[in-house]
Amino acid sequence: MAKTRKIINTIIETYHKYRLAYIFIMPAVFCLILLHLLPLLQGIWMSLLQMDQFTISEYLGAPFVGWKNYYDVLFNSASPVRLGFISAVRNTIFYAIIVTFGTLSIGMIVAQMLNRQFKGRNVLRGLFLFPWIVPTFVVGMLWGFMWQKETGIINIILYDILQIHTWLGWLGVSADKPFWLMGDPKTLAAVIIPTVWRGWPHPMLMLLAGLQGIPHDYYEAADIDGANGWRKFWYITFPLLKPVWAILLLFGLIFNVYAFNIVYMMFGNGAGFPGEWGDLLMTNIFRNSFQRWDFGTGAALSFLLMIVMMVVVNFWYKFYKGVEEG
Amino acid sequence: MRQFWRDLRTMPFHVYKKVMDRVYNVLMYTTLVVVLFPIFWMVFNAFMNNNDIVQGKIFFQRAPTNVLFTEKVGGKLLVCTRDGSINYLDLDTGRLLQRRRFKTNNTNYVSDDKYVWLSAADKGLIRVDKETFAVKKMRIKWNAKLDFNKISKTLLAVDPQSGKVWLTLGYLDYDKIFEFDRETMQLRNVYQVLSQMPDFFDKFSIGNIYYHGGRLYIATNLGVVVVNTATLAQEKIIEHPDFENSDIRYLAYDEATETLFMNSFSKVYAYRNGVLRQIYSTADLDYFVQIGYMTVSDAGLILGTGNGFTRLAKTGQYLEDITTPLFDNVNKKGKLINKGVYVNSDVNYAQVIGEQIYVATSVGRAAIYNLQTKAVEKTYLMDKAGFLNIFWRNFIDLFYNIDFGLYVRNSFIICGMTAFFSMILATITAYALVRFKFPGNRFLSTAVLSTQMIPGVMMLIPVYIMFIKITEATGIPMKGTVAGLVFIYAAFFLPFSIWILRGFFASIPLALEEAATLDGCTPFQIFYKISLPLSMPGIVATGIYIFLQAWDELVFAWVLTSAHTMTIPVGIRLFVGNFQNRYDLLMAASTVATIPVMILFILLQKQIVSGLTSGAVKD
Repeated sequence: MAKTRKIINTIIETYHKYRLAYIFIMPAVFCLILLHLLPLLQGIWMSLLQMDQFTISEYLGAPFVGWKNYYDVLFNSASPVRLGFISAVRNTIFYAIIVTFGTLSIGMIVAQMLNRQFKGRNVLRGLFLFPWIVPTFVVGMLWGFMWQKETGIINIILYDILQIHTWLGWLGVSADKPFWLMGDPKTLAAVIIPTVWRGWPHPMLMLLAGLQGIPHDYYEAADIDGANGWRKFWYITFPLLKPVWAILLLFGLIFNVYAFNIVYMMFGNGAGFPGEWGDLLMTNIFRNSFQRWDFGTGAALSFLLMIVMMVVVNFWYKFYKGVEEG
Repeated sequence: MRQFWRDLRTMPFHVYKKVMDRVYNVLMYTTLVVVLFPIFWMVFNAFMNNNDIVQGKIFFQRAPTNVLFTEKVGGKLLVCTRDGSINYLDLDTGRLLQRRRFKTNNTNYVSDDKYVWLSAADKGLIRVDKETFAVKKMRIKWNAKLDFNKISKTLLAVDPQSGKVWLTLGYLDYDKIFEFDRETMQLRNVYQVLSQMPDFFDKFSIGNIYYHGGRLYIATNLGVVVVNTATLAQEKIIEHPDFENSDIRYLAYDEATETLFMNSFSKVYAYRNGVLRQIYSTADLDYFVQIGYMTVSDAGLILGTGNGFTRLAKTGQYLEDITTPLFDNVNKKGKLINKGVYVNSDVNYAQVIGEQIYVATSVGRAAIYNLQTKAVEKTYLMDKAGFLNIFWRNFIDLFYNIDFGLYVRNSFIICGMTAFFSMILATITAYALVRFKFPGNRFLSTAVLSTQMIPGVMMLIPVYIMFIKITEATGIPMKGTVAGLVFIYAAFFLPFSIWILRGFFASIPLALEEAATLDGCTPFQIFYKISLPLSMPGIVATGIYIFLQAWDELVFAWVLTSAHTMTIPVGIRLFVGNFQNRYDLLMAASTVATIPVMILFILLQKQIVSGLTSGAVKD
């Protein structure tokens, strides 16, 4: 009894000591519990249920099927969901990695170009940031239009203006204008390029700020030692910017794995199936949930994705902490 | 190229630097052009005509003025266009001498010895003096609810001898014919055709009216009604079984043979002594020809077709096809650019004077064709043809089709409130997380980051059902309200805001707060008076960032909004389903969705940039 009282007293003391902190975090914790934790738990429970358009009205009382949804998704080769899931996973891996590294490298190159003294640098930086301001649903619609076979500007530029079929034939460029959004590997490129186009200004901004924080002395010392530009970049700029690109990689990875809007708006103006090579995990989950009306499978897929991402991000976070402290 | 780099290495350093600067500049501006091109393309296509886009055109096409009427008046050429402008061109040079613009719809022209008459469904009857250009207008009460898109034409006929002008509409079931006085332009009579018809079918429309020799010929799809203009009595109805399927378009009376010629889209009829005969049909030809205009002269019947004329004898015998009005391509000032360009053009009007045919075509040109030499003597280009097909109309159509103003307003309200509330919550939470090492701090930090890992789709159904449960339990409407969506958004963007704002508070030096403690400030005062003002730029920047994120959000808005709380993405998404091939409208919608955030960004660029970068880069 005394022990309990002691614990209670400790709690009360702690509360009084940090009262302001607890009051401050209260609303946020309330929001997190109500709109993140509770839906999450319900979602996990949903993944164990057979929940479709007939049982949705019973909601959490829908028939319990245990691990069946997970089994279907992962191991059941007869399940229609599994095939789509696997190609979506493959696409998402390609997509997330290429987009993250693509945005970072383009951002780095342009940041290097902007990190000089010239007139109107701020204006130019602002102009370079413009694609990042375009909303993603607009990006999907715009590039969906630009990728069109006959009316799209990209085919017009490539085939009518540059005439690549006449001088790039040896690369396997066909004489006809290609379909970009018809489900072959080109489709993945047609999804990745707009995302990179929209995404790279943000890393550029961050890296530019980082570059401007690097003292000039380092470079001057390197000049005296006779280092060329590439070595200076590799041995000075790159390590010094590690905190910046590490966090950019982390958030880039998360954002891109959960990318949805661009693909959703680009294909069939949102209603269509992006095809084997255009489907990402989020669109796959969305389609399983809201077009096949199979919420159980959708929840199972979501939960699997979440677990994998948590593991990946955890490792990355440890690396990042090491970077920050070291 | 290799030599260039070798030279570069041996250059003095300052020269090398200058050259490299140039190289970098070229690269940079090229990148800029490539990067901004899609945005430019979006805005550009928002102003293009969809027909041009679908045909793969990548630039504005020329907008032809439809020339409806042309006539030689003295040494000048009168050219009248579909958009209601009356022009005098110099007969020799083609230069524009005089112009009146009326901006009319469904325009039609007719002329007599003194006046040009212009009729339009929206502006009524307009009389223009040929000599002085004096204008007299007369509004008309049509006495019918008009859908302007469905009016094919206003129809005019004039009788200069007795001073009468008739006006009616080519409109479904419209049967009134107004008679005006030529000089005073007062309404004299209204003649109703339908009441005099022997039997009335379900559909009725007037194809054209034509005056000749005291009789008004009213071509309807039930037959041509002949009215005596003096007595206003109906003389007879020229009926034909074929009329029900094809309206009569033009009528012309030939004095020499005392025949009334009339044409439908594909056939020419002759009416003489009470007998109606079909004398010519384009249906037998192996290519498709529509007869647009018909006139009769001593040279025979002149039919304006889709690509030139056909000349028939008055018996209907085919004489010749003048299928190539070889219009010389002239520029605005009438200067010849290149000779003999074939222009595929509808002939809207043709008038035979001696050996010359004065032609008005749909591609913005009037021309004089010589029957004897069988060549184009002269072409005249209306200067509107130099204008490009730039469409402000897309935006009007857009706002007409979907209630875009409402969506923009909703988006602003919802995103603004989201940014505001999530900033309030995130600020205090981030401050607590940074400054107080309370038990649970680490756990909360990890939890905040972990929430980013939850797929939004997974939470959609639970949140939706929770909203319904809340409404059932408390009676507060959640689904389809602004408050509900703001609640969801604020909670969803909260973790990310906390994560960013942590950086700002961490960068405020502790020494300041310690000094404040020594001065006797309470913890709340420290927060309120020191940390908050110092981190304000960062909070504003993060708030704008959250605003942009919320502006972008589609899935939750799609499920949780109703008709009057829709945000822009939902509105566009709805509209996209209905207008898949209207690329112009899609791009206009994209432009409208982008421009507010662009303006916001341009105005607050300095704050956003400094805020975002200082939060991420700690030194």
